[in-house]
Amino acid sequence: MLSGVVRICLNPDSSVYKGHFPGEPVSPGVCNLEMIRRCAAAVHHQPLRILRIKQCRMTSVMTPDTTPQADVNITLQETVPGVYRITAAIENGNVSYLTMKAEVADE
Amino acid sequence: MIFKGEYIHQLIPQRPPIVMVDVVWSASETEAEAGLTVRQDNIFVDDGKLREAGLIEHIAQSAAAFAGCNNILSGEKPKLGFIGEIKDCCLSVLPEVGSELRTHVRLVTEIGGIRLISAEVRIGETIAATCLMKIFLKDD
Repeated sequence: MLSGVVRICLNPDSSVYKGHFPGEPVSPGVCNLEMIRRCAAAVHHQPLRILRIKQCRMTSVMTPDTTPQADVNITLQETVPGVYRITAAIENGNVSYLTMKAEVADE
Repeated sequence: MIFKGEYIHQLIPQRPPIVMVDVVWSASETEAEAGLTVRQDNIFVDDGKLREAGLIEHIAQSAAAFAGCNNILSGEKPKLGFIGEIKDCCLSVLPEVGSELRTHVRLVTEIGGIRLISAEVRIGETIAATCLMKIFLKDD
């Protein structure tokens, strides 16, 4: 089993916020998912691809104004060679933004 | 086909660079079919492939366009929607640049401002992704 915590910063100048949504910048849920994929790859020291999301709950809205930084918690457990069960969460202090259980694989 | 190109902006609140639906083929109160041609300049494309986040955002916006079609019929503006939950989501194929995604979304239930959607993304005959998604619609 492998686990780690990655501290991330939201970039308020990202072009994503121009379209999501105009005048109301909110980090798209799928971008939070992509943060997890990349942080998991950083913890694992190898690129990973998401095969299956068993469940992903997005419990709070993340914006660059209210949440400039957050912690991404990753736990990876190999099930068969090259395939891993991942449990992940994005949180800041006692606010939880996202929890996920999924299956990922080496790319 | 009922909506295409910039007319999609009438249906969904997202704007470039994060518009992930470029055509709506059909829509009823219970289901809809939307599509996207994956272009090289799509922000979710990496190394010639549409990444997982892009596939899921395409599903979410297909669901948003579906809700938007119903809003337009009743004379309302599209509402902001947030993904509340993703369940049983199978991502079988990362679509290559040039792929034409055709996505069927079906309303499973709607309670208050929460819509439960079942979605299937195809590229030709191949199923690229399937997913259950709970979407929260924000009232103005």
